[in-house]
Amino acid sequence: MAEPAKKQDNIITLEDLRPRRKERSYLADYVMPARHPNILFDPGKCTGCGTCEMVCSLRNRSVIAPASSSIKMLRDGEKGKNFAIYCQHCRKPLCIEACPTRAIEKDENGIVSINKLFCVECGLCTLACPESAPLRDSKTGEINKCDLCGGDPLCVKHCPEKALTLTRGKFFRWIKAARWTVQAVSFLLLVMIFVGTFCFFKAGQVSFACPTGMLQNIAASKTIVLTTLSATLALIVLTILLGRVFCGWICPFGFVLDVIGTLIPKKLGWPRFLKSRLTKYGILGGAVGASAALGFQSFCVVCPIGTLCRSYGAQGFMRGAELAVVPLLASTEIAQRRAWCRYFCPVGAVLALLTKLGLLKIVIGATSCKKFSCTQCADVCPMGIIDRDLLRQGISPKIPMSECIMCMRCIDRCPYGAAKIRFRWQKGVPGIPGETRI
Amino acid sequence: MESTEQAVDRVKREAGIYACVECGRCSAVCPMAEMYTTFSVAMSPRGVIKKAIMGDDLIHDVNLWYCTECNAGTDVCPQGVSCRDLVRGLREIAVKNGLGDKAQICPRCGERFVAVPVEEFVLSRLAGEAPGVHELLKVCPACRRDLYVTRNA
Amino acid sequence: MNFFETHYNGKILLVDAAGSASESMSLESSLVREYLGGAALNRALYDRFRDDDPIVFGTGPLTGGFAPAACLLVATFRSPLTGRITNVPLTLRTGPQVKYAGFDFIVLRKKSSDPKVIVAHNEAVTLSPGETYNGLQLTEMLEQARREFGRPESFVWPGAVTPSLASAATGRGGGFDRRGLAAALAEKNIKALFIYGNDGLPFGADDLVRSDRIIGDMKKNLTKKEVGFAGILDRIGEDQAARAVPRRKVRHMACARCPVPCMSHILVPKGLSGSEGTLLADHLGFAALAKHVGIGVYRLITACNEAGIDPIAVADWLAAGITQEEVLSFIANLVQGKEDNVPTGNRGGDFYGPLSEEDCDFFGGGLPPLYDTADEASIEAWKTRTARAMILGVCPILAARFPMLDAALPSFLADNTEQAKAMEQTLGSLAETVITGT
Repeated sequence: MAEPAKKQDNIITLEDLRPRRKERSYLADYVMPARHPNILFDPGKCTGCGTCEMVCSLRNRSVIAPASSSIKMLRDGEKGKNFAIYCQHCRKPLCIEACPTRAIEKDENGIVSINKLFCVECGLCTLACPESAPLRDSKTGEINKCDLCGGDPLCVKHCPEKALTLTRGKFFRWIKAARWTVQAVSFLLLVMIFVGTFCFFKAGQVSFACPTGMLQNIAASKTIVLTTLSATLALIVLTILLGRVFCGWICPFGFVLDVIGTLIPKKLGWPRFLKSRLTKYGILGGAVGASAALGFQSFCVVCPIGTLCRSYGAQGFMRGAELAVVPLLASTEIAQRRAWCRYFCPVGAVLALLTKLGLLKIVIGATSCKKFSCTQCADVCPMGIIDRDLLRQGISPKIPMSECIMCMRCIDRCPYGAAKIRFRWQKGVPGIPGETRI
Repeated sequence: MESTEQAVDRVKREAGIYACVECGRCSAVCPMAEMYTTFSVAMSPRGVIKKAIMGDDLIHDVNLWYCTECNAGTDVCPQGVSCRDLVRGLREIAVKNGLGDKAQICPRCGERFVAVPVEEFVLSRLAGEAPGVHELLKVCPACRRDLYVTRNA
Repeated sequence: MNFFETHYNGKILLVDAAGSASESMSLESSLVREYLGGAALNRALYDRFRDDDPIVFGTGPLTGGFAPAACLLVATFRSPLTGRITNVPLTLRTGPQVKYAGFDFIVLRKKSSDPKVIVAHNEAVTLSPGETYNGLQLTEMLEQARREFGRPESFVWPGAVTPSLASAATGRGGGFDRRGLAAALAEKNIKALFIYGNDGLPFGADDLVRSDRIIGDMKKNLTKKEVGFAGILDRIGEDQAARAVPRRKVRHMACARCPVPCMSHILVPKGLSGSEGTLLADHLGFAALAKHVGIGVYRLITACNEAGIDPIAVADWLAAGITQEEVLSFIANLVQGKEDNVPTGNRGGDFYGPLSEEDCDFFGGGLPPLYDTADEASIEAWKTRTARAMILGVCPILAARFPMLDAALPSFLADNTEQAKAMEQTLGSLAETVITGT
């Protein structure tokens, strides 16, 4: 085996000419612009006329030659599907990692382009791209890849059906603003003003109770009182209609976790052996069982939501050891986002069981979804239920509604409007399950 | 039908290897130097061309299977030797002779589309990705596009 | 007129089906100046090679360029069914691909003694043995071609069954061949013709801008109902057939560069069709079948397209009282070669009102009659428009639907008003000769 050549100072090698690669990842400290241009494609509108290929080839070869374009129209006459393959300008492009000559770069606008000076046409980018978007020109052998025509793509300009559109993503994220407001107001109401009312309160005919507390109550007293059942109805109906909105929008402890999570964005990581979402059902069962054995609502003593509501309010009386519960459990947020809600919270467990009857579902991966190139929904999901690996393979992940806290961060964040709320019985996302396997 | 020897001769002639002046430009620009820590003279285009001129048995040579079939060496050669065409032609002959185990077969269409070491290099660069993504990257580009369409259209 | 340089490759491909050699000859500019192209120039070439009983495939000057719906390839040959010289328009991507393959005209001469498949690709043509294509249905044929030649972008296929019933197809939806192009190909023992290329085609400097302006005007007053397969059926007054086309779950499909698609892919409910969906392209064939079986048309049209049978012939059997099931099993037997007794279905239909069968020869007898049958002037105008479109290499259906194209299309070939006037005159007289077939 040859010794690696020693570098001499006075000789310029290709190493000096090519852009430098940082150790391991070229994009390690690349900051993605908040709103970068990208092309959206609507297969429902596309007729497969091929104008995009014709005009795109003008940039590469100045003649009409669809084989030399950077966009490829795939037509499936049997299933009636037309689809345009083009570069999605990934946030973390795999082609950049694979390129041996570092000819591919991502500029400050987020546009990924091939520097033809350094490109040796080896085609490794085509091998690395999950969609194989860099296309080899069968005439010249060059690799052509969309560079968005510098921000004003010809294909978008000339598409007769307007199936291709240019987008820069959303400017204002109103769901985020609304959620934080609702969370802050409910925190104020439940913790500061109506101290302790979340667990149970009764005013004349109107009563309200926490469903988990109610279950323990039934277990402890071994009697079912109709009024207590009806008292939990508010949360049950809310959950069936809208999913676990309580967890995402109302829960005061969830608000505390979200605030801590915003303050400490870097997570330490959560031990693998504690990563089971079934734990919370175990805790729920344990709480009910313990209540039956001990004769009082045993979990409620250490419930972070309950202790927060009872012990921390302005009028609340300090309850000794209960004060320690909230900081202790809130510290899990440092390890993983909403770790408590994901794995342990029995209140959430009851609501999760109720979502099995729920009317709504979240759908990720509508036709405008950029799949592997974006995965921002997976980044922002506090419950970690959006499967990034499936997205990386170009498959739309199914969202387990029992784990979704309906915070709608995915919907808010998606720049392309590909995350949506749908009724349970509505059509989901494209892709036929049986045919998506390799 | 031409015999294997004849085919090898034809490929060598068509690649123009006998004009080689051993200047080594092809090896200087070869991306393999950056891809493989084991890059050596035997693996380099210049080494492969030299072996071809000497009449060595390249078809059974492992070093034939590291090349990406890029355009770099062909582009800079002052003598018009195409190391790419040489490697491509010899690989075709090797595959015909049942020596294609170093060529990656697409699990979907069954076509040989890339050399295994090249594919391994790409996967090693993308080591952080999930196994499913690696599975997908072993599909040939044309099939991958089709697959993406069935998953998204 | 300088369009010769910017709209033609200047090459005629001569394929000798009897031998394996092929040659190409240059397309003289004088020939183009006299005949422009398409059906008119085809006829000139036909006369030149008359002794070899050729099939001439010809593009027009606009084919493959940026003009709206510039997709047409015209086949000119002596029909084995009628014995007269006939033009058949071939749509989809066949025309542009002939240009991208580096040719303008393909002359297919003489007869082959054994089955052959012709592949025209990048200024080269190969005749390969076609035994493996015997009796293959469309999907199987495409699968076979994919194994052998990669992914040919376009094809002309004479069908799997007996020539007297067959209709040459360029896509999954069949074609407009009612005059026996399939039979002529079968006579020469050609099993399929694949045309694809990655060459470039030059174009006029302001073609794209002009074309976009025309397309914008065309789409201005277009309602959603007018687009697609059903839109044409509405226009030609086939209400019964139009009712059989659902208005939902429809994806419109277009030929190359066509802004107003007239094909539709329909997702038919399971049971109505054997496959997942059906591509509808042959308006008259669909209408003829729908008259007899209503919504049951999808199974028949799918079977016809797969086998390459003219749906109008099948409609003739239905009119004679044969049931749908019998027809389907008969087609299946035909394809498998179990049936020898081939009926001669009447291929005319009665769609063209006062036009006689000879009158329909110049457009192959398959285009939708987009005129008022009672109005003599509208019939004449339609004939002229169709003939002009077939000379220029533009879809005759689009040209017939949009009278504004009368002036717009020749403007691609003229630099100033003087030239435009001369062009208008040439086109007018050429259209006359095409219509009369002299």
